[in-house]
Amino acid sequence: MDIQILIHDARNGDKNAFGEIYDRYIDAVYRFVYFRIGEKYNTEDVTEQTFVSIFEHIREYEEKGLPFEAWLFRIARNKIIDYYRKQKPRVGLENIVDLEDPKRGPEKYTEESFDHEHMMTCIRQLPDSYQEIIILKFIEEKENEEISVLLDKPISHIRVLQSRALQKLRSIMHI
Amino acid sequence: MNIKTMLTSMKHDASASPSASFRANARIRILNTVTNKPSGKPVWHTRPKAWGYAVGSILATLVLTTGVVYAAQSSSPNTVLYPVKVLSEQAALTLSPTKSVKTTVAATIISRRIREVEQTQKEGTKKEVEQSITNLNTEIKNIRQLHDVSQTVISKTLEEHDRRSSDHSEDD
Repeated sequence: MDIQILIHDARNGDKNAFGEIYDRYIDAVYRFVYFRIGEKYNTEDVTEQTFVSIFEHIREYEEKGLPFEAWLFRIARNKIIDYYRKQKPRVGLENIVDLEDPKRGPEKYTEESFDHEHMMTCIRQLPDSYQEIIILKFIEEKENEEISVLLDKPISHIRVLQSRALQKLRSIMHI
Repeated sequence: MNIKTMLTSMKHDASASPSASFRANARIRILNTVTNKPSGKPVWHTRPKAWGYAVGSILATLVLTTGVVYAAQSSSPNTVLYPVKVLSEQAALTLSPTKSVKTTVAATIISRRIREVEQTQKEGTKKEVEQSITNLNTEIKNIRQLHDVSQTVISKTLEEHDRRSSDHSEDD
């Protein structure tokens, strides 16, 4: 069923429409939250809060150049920001003197030794804006136009952020 | 392997996907939260309305409500209320209007049987453990025969529980 029809039905309180929207987007939202938070139980909480918020505010959504998925991800971003506000202050990248792991030199990053867990740790050491770009562009494989709308930034800025984010991630991973 | 390839491969990491039990249970909680707002005005309606109220009341007994059926939801095998619990589950399964709802109910039932096995393993006798395992296997067999339940979701529910069990046994 077309997403616009589902949104229309959900606005009218159709529970099945809510359920269909949930089924369509749960994986993408969960992944986005997981790569930003990195811990299963908090990811589940934030994901659930995101969907409650989506459905509570669905009547306020108007397309007008903002695709539904982008609106949905913006809500997820806001919930992630709220989550971190309630946490203790994190150590910023500038405060980390030495990220080097002596066991992991560049030659270790072969296909056989690639470790998702380690990569997640490195991603989470990036500033928030870099993390978002890495997740949306390279993990979720979204187009720059979509990311630009989602993050409400010009496309040219998105390209610059991508380049800087990758460079910083390579530097953290020593590759 | 270049860094972009590494990043793309992370999308399919199992830990980046919601578990089947979370997916199913969160769906129930979210829809109940959103559609039970005390606004004084009914938010929820499905088509046709009478069918929706009938299904809603049956599904509600599985998760909440008052009285004997509610009290039965947490009952263990070999207790007086356990047959009430099982009957209410079967009613919810039979009257689920769509494949999606039925799958959610089926996954919830299997999760409950698994929890009963875990509970009897901790607190019950050997006979009670065997009975709860028999109940679980019977439930799985019955649900596997349903053509209008997503067997993929059921398999994922079982895999998730297996994975959690092996994680716990590694911790021991």
